[in-house]
Amino acid sequence: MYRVNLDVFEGPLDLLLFLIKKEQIDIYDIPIAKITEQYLEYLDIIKLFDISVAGEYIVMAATLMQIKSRCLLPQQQDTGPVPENVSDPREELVLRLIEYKQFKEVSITLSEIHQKRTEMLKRQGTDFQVEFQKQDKIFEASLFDLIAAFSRVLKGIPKDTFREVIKDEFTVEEKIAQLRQKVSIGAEEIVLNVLIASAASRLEIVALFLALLELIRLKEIEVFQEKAFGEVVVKKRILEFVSSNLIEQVTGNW
Amino acid sequence: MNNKEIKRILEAMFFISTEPITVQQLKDVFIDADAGMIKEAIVTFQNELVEKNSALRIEEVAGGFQMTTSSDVFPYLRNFFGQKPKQKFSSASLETLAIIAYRQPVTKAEVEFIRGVNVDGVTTTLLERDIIKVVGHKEVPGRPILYGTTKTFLEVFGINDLSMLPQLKQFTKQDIEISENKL
Repeated sequence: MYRVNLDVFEGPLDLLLFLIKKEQIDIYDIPIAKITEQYLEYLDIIKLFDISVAGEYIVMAATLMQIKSRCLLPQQQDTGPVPENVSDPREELVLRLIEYKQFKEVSITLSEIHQKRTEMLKRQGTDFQVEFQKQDKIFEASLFDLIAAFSRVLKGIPKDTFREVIKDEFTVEEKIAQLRQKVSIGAEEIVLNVLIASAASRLEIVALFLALLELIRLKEIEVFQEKAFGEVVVKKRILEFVSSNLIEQVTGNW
Repeated sequence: MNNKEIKRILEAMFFISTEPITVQQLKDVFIDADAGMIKEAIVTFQNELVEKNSALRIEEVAGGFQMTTSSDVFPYLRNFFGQKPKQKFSSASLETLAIIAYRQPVTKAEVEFIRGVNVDGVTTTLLERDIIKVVGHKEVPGRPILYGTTKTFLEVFGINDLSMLPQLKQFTKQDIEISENKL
């Protein structure tokens, strides 16, 4: 009985290269009928295991059969003045195979380079360095970073199967007021994760997050990261005048 | 400031820094030294470490210089610090990454054409790991996203700049017949 490890093949081109190597075929002169037959044989096995993977393999099967039929058709003769450009129907496939093979090979080289590199360790960072960097190596976190941090936190919340349904205990308005207070008193900056961890339920976290977005929009607070994918830090925005009227207007809508 | 003094201060900087240090950054520190002098001091320090068979090395990576441990002491470090969770790349992501690295800026469809398979999952993972990034849109119908590699890619693979990527092999007939495919 056949036993096929699907992970071995990275796709239809990989399978073709495998067959070419197995049969010791010259890639520039592929016996298309034979290779098509073999390819379909493997495809049958793959289909037994995984239908979704087979989709891409089927496209290649169709391509192979098309090439096969074109090879069988007689070449045009006498019809044109010069029989120019009588191209081999297999040519395009061969070029694709060669291109793919190039990248497959170089990816193995890259893997070796990476392996070597992982054996050269670099410094892991020190407390004093963190202090140095705080002042200048900060850049503004994007909305994408915020959402990424938020979804990380959401993932971390244990899922309770049974939960009491609480009626709108937390409002965005309330959270805006809380946040405003938090950034204005003493604490210069708040780490987003810590802030969110203080919330009791998913609902509260969502309210908090919306409040945060709102305050950013109103330019009352700013968010920063020390490095890409680092902790998101929430800070009061300085030197910005915000009309209190505007806030009334906006928060009233929530 | 002479070469010796610069070298001495560099030693402290490399010791502390977790990121590659560029000559440009150093020019702001050593105001009276030019790029040539700084580069020379780095190379002197680099050679010194090699000559005295130090377990530390200065590696040129991602456009800068960085202190790393020599790979021959890695087994001992691993035993001492424990096995780090390895950042491994699957062969699917390596193939995809290779195509992006050599063909950038490149669209997902172009990568898929070369690999012959869908690369949605792999590109997402590579994006999350900050190995590749969106570099723009191709000005064709649909304006598909163009991808390129990041500075992290250079660091992770210890490559100084993209021109230092290993050469793509030009295949001849024989190569393909005798190649040892890792299947």
